[in-house]
Amino acid sequence: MDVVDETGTEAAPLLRVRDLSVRVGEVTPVRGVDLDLPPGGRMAVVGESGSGKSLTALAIMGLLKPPLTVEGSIVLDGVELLDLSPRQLAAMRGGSLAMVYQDPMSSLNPVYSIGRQIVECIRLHEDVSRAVARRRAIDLLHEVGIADPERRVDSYPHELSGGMRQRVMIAMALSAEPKLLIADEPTTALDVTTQARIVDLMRRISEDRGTAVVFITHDLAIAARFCDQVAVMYGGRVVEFGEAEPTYDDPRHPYTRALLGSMCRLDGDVNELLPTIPGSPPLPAELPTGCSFRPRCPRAEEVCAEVFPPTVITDPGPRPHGAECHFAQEGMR
Amino acid sequence: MTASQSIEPEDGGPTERALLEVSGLRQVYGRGANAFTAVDDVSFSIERGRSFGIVGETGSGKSSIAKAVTRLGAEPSGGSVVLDGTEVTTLPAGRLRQLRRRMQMVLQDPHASLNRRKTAASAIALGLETHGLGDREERRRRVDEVLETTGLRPEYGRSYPHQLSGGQAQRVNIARALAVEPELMVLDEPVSALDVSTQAQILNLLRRLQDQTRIAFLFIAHDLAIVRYMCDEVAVMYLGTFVERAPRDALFGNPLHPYTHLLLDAIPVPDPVTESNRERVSATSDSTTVRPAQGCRFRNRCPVGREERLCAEVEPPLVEAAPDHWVACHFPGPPRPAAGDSAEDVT
Repeated sequence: MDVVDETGTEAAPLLRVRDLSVRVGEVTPVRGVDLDLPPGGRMAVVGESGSGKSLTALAIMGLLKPPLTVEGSIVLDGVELLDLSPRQLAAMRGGSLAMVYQDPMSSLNPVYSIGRQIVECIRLHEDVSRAVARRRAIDLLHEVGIADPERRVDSYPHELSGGMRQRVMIAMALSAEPKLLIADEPTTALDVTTQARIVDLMRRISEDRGTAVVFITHDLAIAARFCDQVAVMYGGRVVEFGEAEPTYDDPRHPYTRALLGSMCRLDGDVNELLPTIPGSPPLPAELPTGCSFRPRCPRAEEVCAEVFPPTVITDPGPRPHGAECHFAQEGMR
Repeated sequence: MTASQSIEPEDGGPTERALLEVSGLRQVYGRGANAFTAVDDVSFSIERGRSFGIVGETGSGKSSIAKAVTRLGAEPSGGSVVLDGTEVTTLPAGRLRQLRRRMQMVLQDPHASLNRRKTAASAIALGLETHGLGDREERRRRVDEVLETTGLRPEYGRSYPHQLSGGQAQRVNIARALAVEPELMVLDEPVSALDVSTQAQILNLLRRLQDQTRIAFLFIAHDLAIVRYMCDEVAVMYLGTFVERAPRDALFGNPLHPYTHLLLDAIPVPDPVTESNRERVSATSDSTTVRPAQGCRFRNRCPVGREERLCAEVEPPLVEAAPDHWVACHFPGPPRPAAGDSAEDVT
C-alpha cells in the first residue's frame, strides 16, 4: 500500500510502517506489513488467531526478542524505531509510545496501590514531586472514568473490577502523554457492556488529546465502534485497508466480506443458518502457495494458487482503499 | 436416539412434559458472613428439541446454574432440578453418574476440556466406556459416526488436542458429548473462545444437531446476538437472578427490563456509521458484582430506578407482564431516552 501521503494535503503520518516482517527460524508470521496512521488517527487492526496482528503491535513497540527478528521500517514521528538502541527504545516507550494489553493483571503489580504505580510512571519521565505526581494520577483516574478517584488512587489492583483495571492501564499509558497508543485486544476479556465503555473511552481520549490509537482486535463489530480506518490482517499480511466506512460498506477482499457475513448479528435472520467460511485460519508455518486465503475463498481461481495477489488500490482516496486480491476490482457486494 | 423421546404434539401445545424443570434453584458458596449467593431462586423449564438461553455478565451466576443443574463442580444449596421426572439434586452418586449420560456439558475453553495425552477418538470412546455402552467395535463405529456428525474427517480421531485448532477441538468436545446420546446438552459459552470465522460453523453445527436429534440445549452466553440466534426462550440474569425471561421474539422485540436494554445497547454492529451515531457511554459505571443491601439489585446502574424510592426499598418480584413474558422491575417498559453521559462518575 504505497500511499499518496506526500502528494495529498494529508499531514505526514505519525506512524509509517513499511514492509515489516517478523521471523522466527524458518517461519515468517508477519510478512511485509505496511501501515500509515496520521496524528490523532484511530486505526483498527483486525485479524483472527495467527493473522500476525499482535506480533505487528509488539514489533512496533520494540518488544520482540530473539529468536524473533524484525525487518523493514517503522517510523514514528520521523524516527526510525528499528535503528534505536534498546535504551533509546525504552525511553520512547515511556514517552511518545505506550501500550495497553489484553490482561491488565499481568501488567499491574499486585503489591502496590494503583496510585503508586501511576506516580512511578509519571516520575520516570518527568522530574516532579510525589505530591504533584499524585495529584496528576488522580486527574488521570478521573479522566478515564474512575469514580471517586481521590479514594480509588489508594486501591490495589485486586480490589478493582476487570473494566476498572483496564481503565487504570489506560491512565498509566496516558501518563507520559504519548502520541501513539497501541491497544492489544484491550476489551476481549471484558463483558459486553464494559467493552463498549472502554472502547468509547479510548475514542474520547483520542478525540480530546489528539492521541493516535492502534486498536488490535479480532472483532469487526467492536472495531466499528472505534476506528476511522481499518486494516484487516490474514496470514501475516494486511489483506485489506481503507477508511472505515467504505471498507465495511464495500469490502474488496473476499475474506473481509466473508468475515462480515459470518458474524452473528442482532438484526440477522434467525431462520437461516449463518454464512460460514470453511476451514480455519492458517498457521504461519503452513501457509498455502499463492494467496493464503485461497483454500477458504469462494472466489478463488487457478491464478490464486500460482501467483501471489497484487495490492490493488480500488479507491485512491485522499486515503486509499485497497485489497490484496486478484479480483479486488470486482464490486462483489 | 433413545426410544424414550415422545413425538412432538402437532399443535405445538404444552402437552409434553418438559425435559428439564428447574424450580427455586439456589446456589450459595461459603458460609456465615462470607456466604455468597450466586444463584438466587431461579426457575425455568426446557422441552425436548428446544433451547433455553441464559445471558448475563461476569458474576451474574449463569455458569453456576450450569454447574448446579449438572451437579458438576457444585451441589445445589436449594430448589429442585428434575430431568425427565427424576429429581437430580438428591440423587445418590451412583445413579447420578448414570443420569449424566443424559445430560452432557460443553465448556468454553475447547482445549482445557480435553486430556492432552488422549487422542480425539479415545476421548470420545471414554464416555461410551464409562457408561458401558457398546462393545469395542460398536464404540469405534460410534466414534467415527459422531466425528462425521460434527464435521470432522475420521483421521481427526487420531489427533491429539495440540494438533487441533480451537474450532476442531470444540467439535471433538461436542462429538464426545453427543456420543452417549444425551437428551440435554449444557453449553457454557461454547463459542466465545473461538475465532469469529469458526464461531458461525459451530453455531450452525449445533442448530443442525438439534433439528436432527431433538436434543435440548441449555445455552449460556454473554453475547445476546448469539443467544438470539440459538435459543427459543431467553432469560437475562443479573447478580444471581432472572430479571427478564421470555420467548425469543418477545424478549428481543419488546424488551422490558432496563438491564436488558443496557445489554442490547452495548452490542456493537459491524457498521461504522451506526456505531458513530451511538450515544457514548465511556463514563457510565462498569459492571459490578456488588449487590445493594436492599431493594432492586440493578438500581445502582439503572437509568430508570436510580432515584426511585420504591426501587431502593422493595426488591421487584419476577411477574408475568405479558403472556410468557416475565420481568422483575417496578417500572418495566420499552427503552427510555437515556440521560447520556451526564451520568459521569456514578458507580
